[in-house]
Amino acid sequence: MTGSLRLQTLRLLASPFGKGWTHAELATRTGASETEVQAALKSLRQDGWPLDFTGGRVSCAGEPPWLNPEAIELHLQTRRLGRPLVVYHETGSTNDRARQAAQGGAAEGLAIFAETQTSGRGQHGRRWLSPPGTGLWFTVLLRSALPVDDYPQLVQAAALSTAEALDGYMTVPPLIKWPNDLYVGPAKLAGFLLESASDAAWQVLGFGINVHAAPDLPGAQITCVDRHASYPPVRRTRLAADILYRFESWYRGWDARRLEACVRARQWQ
Amino acid sequence: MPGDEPLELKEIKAIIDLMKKNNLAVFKLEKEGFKLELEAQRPVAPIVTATPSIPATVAPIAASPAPGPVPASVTEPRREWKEIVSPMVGTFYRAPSPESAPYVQVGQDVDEETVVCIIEAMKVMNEIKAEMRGVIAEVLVENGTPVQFGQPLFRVH
Repeated sequence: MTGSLRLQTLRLLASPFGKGWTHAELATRTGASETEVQAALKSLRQDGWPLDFTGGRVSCAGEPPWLNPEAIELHLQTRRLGRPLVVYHETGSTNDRARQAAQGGAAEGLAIFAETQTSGRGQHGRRWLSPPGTGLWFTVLLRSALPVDDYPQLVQAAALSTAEALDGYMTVPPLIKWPNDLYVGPAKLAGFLLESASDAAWQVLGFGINVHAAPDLPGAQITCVDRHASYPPVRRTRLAADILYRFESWYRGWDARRLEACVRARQWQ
Repeated sequence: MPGDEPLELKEIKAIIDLMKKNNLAVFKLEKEGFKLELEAQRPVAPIVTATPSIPATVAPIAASPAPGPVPASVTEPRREWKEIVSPMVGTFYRAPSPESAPYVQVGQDVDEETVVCIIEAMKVMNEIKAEMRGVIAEVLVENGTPVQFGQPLFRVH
């Protein structure tokens, strides 16, 4: 048994092979009863999964139109990061939510996503615009033992991981503008923000990536992933899972010198 | 609703049953040339309330969970109650995560912008704002339980 019945069912339905599954086949594969499978399918459909029941066989070619935590989890290959993950429809700032959870004792790995933030923060206390449904705005809770002096590198690791994940989707490589923004040419694509406890018991690391749209800001050049993507629109759920995976591999195998070298190789001029 | 014909009596009864079952106070349905409004008599539900529906004798018990300035005796408190109701169907959570403190406690001041709880619907967390000023007098729903559209969540005065 891996994951919940819902997730197991989704994994089977997402498989691109064959023409879908009968209830009996799903039951055999998941080890659940047909009634349980039926209930799972019903609740998945209620949650917006576009299930297709043609000819007594169930299949699923897409995912819910809004950011769905199970859809991210379906792609997620991490061990800790993004487990659990939570999606808010709207919240003040995902960093604030993560901080609250950290203060309450939540474990490392929690990731909090929002479709939109009402008071997202950027660098130097600037606002971060996050229009609904257009980007990936999320925060990962870390409980790193790294010395505080290394925190800036933690943020650079976030920028680098995001750039590396985006390489799989974009026709141009996003570059890191000092200290830790991602740019394509003259336009900003993504930003990152770290906040930590005064006693270093936790760090909340915020990711902000414009995916489907670039907010119009007077005096600022902003771009989005789709504008440079090979196959737009890029699926946010997959991208999020990729970023978390890349970041986790940098984070777990922490190597400051290698990180520095890779960041330098991506330096925006 | 299927077709254009008006609701059958049977269907209206079914709606009333649903309202009773889910403690709904009001149900409105409106479409071209047709309007249905159902309103339950106020104390429909077995919600624990400070309202003395059985008057006088039991008053001290009924007033138990609400602290502070609730005049437990003669006055007519119902006028001053307001309710924060659920804007959607979903699961009610009092805190942003199992580890966190609840958004609001009984006795706490709230204003229009105060987030009072979360309703999880379709796997997405929705922060619910008080959208009124007052003091939380009572939490009407157990953490983690399903709520219906229009169901009262908090009593505010």
